[in-house]
Amino acid sequence: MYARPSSVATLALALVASSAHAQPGDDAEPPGAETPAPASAEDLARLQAELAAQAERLAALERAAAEPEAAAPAPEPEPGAVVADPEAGFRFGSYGRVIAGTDLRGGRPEPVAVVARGPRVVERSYLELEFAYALRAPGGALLRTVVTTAFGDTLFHETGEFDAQPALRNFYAEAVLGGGATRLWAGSRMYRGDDIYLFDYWPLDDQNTLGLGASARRGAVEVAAHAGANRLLDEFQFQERDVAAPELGATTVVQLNRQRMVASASATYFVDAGSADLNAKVKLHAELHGLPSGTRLRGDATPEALPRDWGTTLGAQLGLWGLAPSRTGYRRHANLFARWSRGLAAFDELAPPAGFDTSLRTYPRASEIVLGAGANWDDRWGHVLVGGYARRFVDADPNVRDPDDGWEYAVDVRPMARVGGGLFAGVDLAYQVRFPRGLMPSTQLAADPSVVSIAPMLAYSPLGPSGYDRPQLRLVYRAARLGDGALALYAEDDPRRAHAWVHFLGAQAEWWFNSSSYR
Amino acid sequence: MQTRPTLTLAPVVALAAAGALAGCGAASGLEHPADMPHVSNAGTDWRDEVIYQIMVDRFENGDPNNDLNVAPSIPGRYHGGDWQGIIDRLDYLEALGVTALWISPVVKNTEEDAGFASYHGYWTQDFLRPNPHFGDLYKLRELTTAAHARGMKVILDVVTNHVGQLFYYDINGNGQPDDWLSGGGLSHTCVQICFNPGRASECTPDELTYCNLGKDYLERIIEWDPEYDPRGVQGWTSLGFSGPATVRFTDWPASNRVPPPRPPAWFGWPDDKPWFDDPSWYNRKGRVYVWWHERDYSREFVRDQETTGDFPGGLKDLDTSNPDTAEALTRAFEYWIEVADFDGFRVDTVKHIDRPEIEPNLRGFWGLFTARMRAKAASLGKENFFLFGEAFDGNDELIGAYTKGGVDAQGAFGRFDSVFYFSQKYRVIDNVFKFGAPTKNMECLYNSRVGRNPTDAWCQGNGYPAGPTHGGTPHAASADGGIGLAPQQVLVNFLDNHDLPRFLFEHADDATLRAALFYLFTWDGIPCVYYGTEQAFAGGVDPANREDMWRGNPARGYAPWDTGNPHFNLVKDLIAVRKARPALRRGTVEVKWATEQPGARRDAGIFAFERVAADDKVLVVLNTAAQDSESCAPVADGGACMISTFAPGTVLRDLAPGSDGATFTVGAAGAVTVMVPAQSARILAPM
Repeated sequence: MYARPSSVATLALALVASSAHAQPGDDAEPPGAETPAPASAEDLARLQAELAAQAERLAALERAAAEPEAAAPAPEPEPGAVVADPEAGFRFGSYGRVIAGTDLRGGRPEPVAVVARGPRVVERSYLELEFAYALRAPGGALLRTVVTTAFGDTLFHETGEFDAQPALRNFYAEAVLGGGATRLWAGSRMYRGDDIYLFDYWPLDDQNTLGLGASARRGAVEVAAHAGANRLLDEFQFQERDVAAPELGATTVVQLNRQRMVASASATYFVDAGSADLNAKVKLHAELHGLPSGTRLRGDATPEALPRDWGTTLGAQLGLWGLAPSRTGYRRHANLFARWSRGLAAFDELAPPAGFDTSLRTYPRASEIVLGAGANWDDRWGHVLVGGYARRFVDADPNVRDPDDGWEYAVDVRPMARVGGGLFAGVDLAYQVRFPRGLMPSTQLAADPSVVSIAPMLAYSPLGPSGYDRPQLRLVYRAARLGDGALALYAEDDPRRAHAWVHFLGAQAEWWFNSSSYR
Repeated sequence: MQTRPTLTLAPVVALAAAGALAGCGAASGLEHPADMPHVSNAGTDWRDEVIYQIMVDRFENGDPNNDLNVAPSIPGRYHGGDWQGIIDRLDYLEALGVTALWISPVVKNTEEDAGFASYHGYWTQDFLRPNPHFGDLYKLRELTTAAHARGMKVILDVVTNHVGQLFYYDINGNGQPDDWLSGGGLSHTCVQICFNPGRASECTPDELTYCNLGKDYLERIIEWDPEYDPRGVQGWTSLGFSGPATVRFTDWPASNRVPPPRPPAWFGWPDDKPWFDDPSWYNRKGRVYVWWHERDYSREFVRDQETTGDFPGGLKDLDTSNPDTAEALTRAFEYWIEVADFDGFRVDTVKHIDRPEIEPNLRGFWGLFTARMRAKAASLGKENFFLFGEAFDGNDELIGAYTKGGVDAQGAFGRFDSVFYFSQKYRVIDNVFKFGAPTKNMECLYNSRVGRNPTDAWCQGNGYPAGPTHGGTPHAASADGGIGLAPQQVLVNFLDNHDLPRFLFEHADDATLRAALFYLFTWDGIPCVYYGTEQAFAGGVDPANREDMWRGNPARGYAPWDTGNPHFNLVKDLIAVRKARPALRRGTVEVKWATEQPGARRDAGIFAFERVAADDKVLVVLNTAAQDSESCAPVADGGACMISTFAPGTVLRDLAPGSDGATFTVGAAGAVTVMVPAQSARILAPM
């Protein structure tokens, strides 16, 4: 069966070996190079075919070289002109989730949460449509504009209302310099890092402002900073009133005009060991919040002075990922978060603060501590998503015993086993509880509102094996058991107060692609 | 491979541990206010106390977070005061020297009514939950605990007679509250009975009087607040009558004008029993119109109105003769003793429940309520739980009847330990101090109270009953939750309050106030100071008399919480003298001089009395007149001077605040001549 290689075959093998290992001036035996094994007749035939094909390509190149006038002249870039490239151009992205089902009492399904961020196994429908366009400038800078519209859960097929009110969640331009090492942006942006998926929660750095920012990476270190502002249409930040116009009639003036300023800075150190090894990053994060003084008018037109207020945040994240060769498509990670805020920063920047001290300030008495974790582990058998956080919030009011104050925590785990193809079967188990440091207003008793839920589900996720692969179609039944304390959170006449068990049976779909916020 | 589980499960384990730690501070582990210890008040003698009346919304804003719907420029709205504010100002109150804080009602109210807000707290909507404008249960308990730590007691103002404007009478059946009924006319009893020739014989003389005298005001019918109808508010349209009007509770959550919610499970109220959302718990007779025993009305008719009619403003009258209603009210206020550790109750509108002056031996609601409150206090280890009622009436016998016990088939029962001394307000504080009436009125009122000198012709001639008008025996021993003192000893004396113009508003100046304050702090009973008196507040009728304490008194140049002005110092010094002299607190009373004649004369405005305790004796000589006077008769009347019980030769020194330090030597037979500057007093004790 073994035949002596022909001279052509020997040449071909020598070429392959040379192209693979030979280096100029390197005449040593290439590492790992082995003596060619005797070729079979099939091998020989294949090599001959390849050699013939290469000879044809070589002849074609020689013809082209001999006829330069026939080739299209390479265009000379005009000064200032832009050159399109794979990163440039239009990009459409989206994040969406839609839920359809029943609460088994004939009603619309509802999420159940007694903590700041409840498990997302049942959450309202939501859609983002993102439109981005990028241009490559001379010198290599990439300029990208991003517009993200977002819609809440007012679905036409649910309400029959031919209406929707989109929000602009992103509306900014970004310059990417140095091949991505430096980024500058300005505009209106949701600006955030890693989340705990099972709670739809960004526990460290989730900012929503109008402002500007920059980031730069040098080696293993990336630094980022941003400064922005918001002015919510809330009586704490904004108030209009009618006054007499200079000549006649009324004119509307802005009585209260307080912009909340938010500045953030972060530094991240990466340990990038390749996809098959454990990678890590350590991120330090800080925020400074400020609110200027102002004067608003009460209902009786008496002025109420609102003093200057401010707040600070310090936080850290340890991120681990890898341990999965890229060919597997597995995405394994774990993130640990810690965040400590005081004053204004203890309140989400999209909500006015509450629980002031006697001078209507939140600093320094208000505080928030968050410890969180999120993880995913993909494997041959399926995947498991894990999330959890503990949060302690104390407002600035003088009340030591205060139902607004106290700890809360929530844990959620979602193991999903691969059944076959893109089909997974599993369950979402969650527990959430609050420990308010005061009495429930409705019962005048102390109670710890808690909810335990179990949600068996089937998921069809054909685009990959990971818990993070989307789109995903799910068939879910969720049973949530509300403790007495949780029921007591409802108003006395709220029909939900009569139901300790809250069900959901239905279908869900979730996707993300090309989104600047979800990856 | 061994590290994989660690990577994913470690956060869960850590979080579970964190949660467990957090759980150590779980709300369910909080000590409920009802479970906190209660002060015993053993050894308390309520005659030693000085009460300070606080309208919570107007005292101090200690927590801006409960400033819901505040409109501080509008007198009839919430201004922002709260229980935290009182806590914050305990230093001020301690500096003043008061020892018991009477705070306005704490229960959840209807939010507003006809543009006015419930800042005062008298419009109950829910008897079991605190008013969120003022704080929560913990804050309330923090207040009582903080006050107790300073030796102060806290008295709660409670309302059992009525609730807020929770419903209307749908007289015409159109399902909406009409402010002015089309075709309105006289009260239905008048039209249907008294002015109906076919039924006129059913009309009582009182009803006929009512119909005849009331033609003007009965022309308008308001479904929120229709006038009293002895047969109950009747349904009616221009076509005729339709029987009792339907009661419709409003369902206006934004202003908390919703039916009272069923009680929480812990209250233990049977599910099959009605609650305050049941119309049958209300008398439904319409608004009291005839307030006083005026004109041709019989006493019974007036009292029927007062005890079964709605309180003006559409405040619906509870049928306290209904055992379920009475039980619910009683249990509700037992709860407040337990949960907030109050030391006593000031009970609102007591004369609108029961008629003890007519039926003294009918136990009624007050016989039940007062006994249960004392028993509850005793069960918590609290002694000397003080119950005093507000009977807003100048009739001394009427208000005194609420302090007297009775006997029925079950045995003896008690009523209130005391009342707010309105008869004194009208007959002494106003008549004598403001209008110059003879000081004999002070003696007569005292004699009526205790039944002394019943044949005094002057007193009889001026309408003073022989007495005793007020209870002469304690209702319960201290250990049984009572105060161990007879009502006659502990009437609550006051110059003004939240329902009356402030003393300084009219017919009075600083000198008049000074004289009245001397009386308040030296006379027999428990002095009660309405907040702001010490800052010379001078507001008129409600709501002008409910000033914001935290604004100070700019008209006088008094900064907020000023403790250096003369008014503050006078009150403080008088309290100090009272505290220093047992006789002024607990001593018996012997009137030594009183004038029967008004006008300028040698003894004009002089009222002198000795107060004698076991180891202390004080002679107080008041001068209510605007001239310097002395304790002797005019020469034309014989010139006799006051005879004291001090031994001849005793030198008496004036201890009064601001005194010139004068001394007076007792002469033969105890005679002593004491000159008192105009509208002032001397507090004399042996050197």
